[in-house]
Amino acid sequence: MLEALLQGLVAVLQWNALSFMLIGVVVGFWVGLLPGLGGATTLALLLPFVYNMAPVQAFAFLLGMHSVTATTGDITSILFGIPGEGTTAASILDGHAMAKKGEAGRALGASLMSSLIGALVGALALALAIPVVRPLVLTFGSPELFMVAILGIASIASLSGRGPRGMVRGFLAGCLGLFFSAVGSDPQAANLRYTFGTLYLWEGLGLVPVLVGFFAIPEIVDLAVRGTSIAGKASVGRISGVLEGVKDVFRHFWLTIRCSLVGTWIGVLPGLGGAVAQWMAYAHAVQSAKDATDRERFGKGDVRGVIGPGAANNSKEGGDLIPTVAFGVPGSSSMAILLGGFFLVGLVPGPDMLTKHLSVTFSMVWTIILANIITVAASFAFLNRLAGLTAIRASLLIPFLLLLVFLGAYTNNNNIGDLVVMLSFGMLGYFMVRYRWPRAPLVLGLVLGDIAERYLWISTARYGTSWLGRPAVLILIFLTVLAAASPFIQERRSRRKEALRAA
Amino acid sequence: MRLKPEALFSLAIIGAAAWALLATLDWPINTALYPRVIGVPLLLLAVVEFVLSLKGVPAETGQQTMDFALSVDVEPRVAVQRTITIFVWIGGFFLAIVLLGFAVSIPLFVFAYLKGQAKERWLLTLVLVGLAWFIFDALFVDLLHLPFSQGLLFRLLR
Repeated sequence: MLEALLQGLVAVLQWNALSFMLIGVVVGFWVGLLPGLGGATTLALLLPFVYNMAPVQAFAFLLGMHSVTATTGDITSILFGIPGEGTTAASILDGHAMAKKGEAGRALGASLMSSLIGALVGALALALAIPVVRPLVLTFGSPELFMVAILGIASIASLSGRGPRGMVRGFLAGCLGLFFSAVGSDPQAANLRYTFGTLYLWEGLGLVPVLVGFFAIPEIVDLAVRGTSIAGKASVGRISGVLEGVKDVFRHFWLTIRCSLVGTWIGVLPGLGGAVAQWMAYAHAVQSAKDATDRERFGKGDVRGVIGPGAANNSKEGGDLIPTVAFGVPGSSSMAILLGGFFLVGLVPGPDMLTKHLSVTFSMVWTIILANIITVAASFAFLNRLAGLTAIRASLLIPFLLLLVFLGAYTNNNNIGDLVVMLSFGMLGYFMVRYRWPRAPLVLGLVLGDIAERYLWISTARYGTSWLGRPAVLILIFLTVLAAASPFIQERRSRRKEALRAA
Repeated sequence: MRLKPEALFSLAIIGAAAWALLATLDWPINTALYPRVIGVPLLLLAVVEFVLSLKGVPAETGQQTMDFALSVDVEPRVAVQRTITIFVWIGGFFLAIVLLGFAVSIPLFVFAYLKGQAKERWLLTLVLVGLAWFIFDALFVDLLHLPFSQGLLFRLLR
């Protein structure tokens, strides 16, 4: 095994594989920065280029591109409040709030360092997990996957507001997201729901226009109202801020590791993907707050809200690859496209990848590690310039932000309908922010709704109601109740502590 | 009694949830099950939120969410005026794209915003218009080959 590990490294460091990886990294760097342009779409666009490549070169090229998009996607999310990637929207909540306080450098430093650690954890998990993950994945059937979706929504909904009314709004937003996921043809009989007679809505609401509008429009409106730069009167943090962000990651090292593991595990589970991993990690970061007062800092520029999603959306890459490589079961749409890459270069995912082609599998591990190190190093070199963008005055920035928002949304289906969806969710997002409704549960509900419906239906059709008694389901139900009750438990505990202190 | 905008927002959600539930009445159970399972709690929670909005909840419990807050250091009258203005610009950009297409609307919008709204200098305006057009044409058209349809007006004139 060690020999294959070294062979994988040597193969990636060959000049031709390394060159292809660098080209992939450059493409991935820009794809991540540009809102709307997704890693999966770019993966599909790059697929035809690998026909004449050797397997190691092909994966260096494809994975080199794909594994860095989340890293640079965080940069756009933090600086402009526009999700660079669908998988980096959670970084906006605290990352952009930090940028507005003049702490863009610190937020970027924390995001990049947590991304690097996340990628390393994911790659390590890929290297170590292949022999042991099979039985674990196989214990998770559709009932357990349905409960994972419910657990995710319950966690974020219960944590996103303070007090009973905050929880009502959190769960209301979560239900609204689940409801929006019902738009389009139903997964069982393909009957149309809420499509208003338009062809555009047959496949449901596109995640990219929804996210771009939902997060970017309220930020742009607020920027226009303030009439200052993003950082406002605060001085933009320079290199010291960046180093502070890096230190923050090591101050909250175990949170980084835990969120990386959350991301890896979500990546391993089929159908959940990076869009879910970031929110699960964010919910976990909020859950790790000491008390209600500590929790209130989230959403207002707490560095832990940047570290969690940053680590998870990079670690999920390694996790995603585990079922793809080991069983030929892609965990996400990107991995389904990558699966096409396997066949194009003459490889069949499955047991052969763990025996005959083990060095190719390890070359993927090294590609993820090297591509992320290169990207993070390159990003650090330009951070001051990037952070400086938050000092540009609003009047110059707004037309360009709107340009990126409209173009980013349009790339989803190249349809005017994308713009209508983006504007509608922009309005909804604005009113939710205005009336202090949390937006995160809505997004998680939308992302998980389709998965939840599919798995609920399969579970009910296959097991009737008996699936509710499965041991793993019972554990997940218990965790869901615990997640929903955790704010109350935490508040009670801190009240008791205060009473003891007062006594 | 005059309803607060906050309560009106909840009322709109109640309306949408009720309509969504009513729409499922004509659907087969396979199709209707999921929207009903979601729609019922959505409606109930929206009603609870509406009632709480009518009662009014103190800021320390109702106003704190895990999200960013709109700026409050701008005078409310000015804030409303600026909010309406930016929404008009956003709507105008959308309308221009529908009528004229991206290729014409992008330079036109950037120019109109920088000269009309921001009152920027000519040289800076022209440089930034060029930059916006370059981003669109070089990146999205030439490099990524994304298909951008012509505007409605051009299609009607053909």
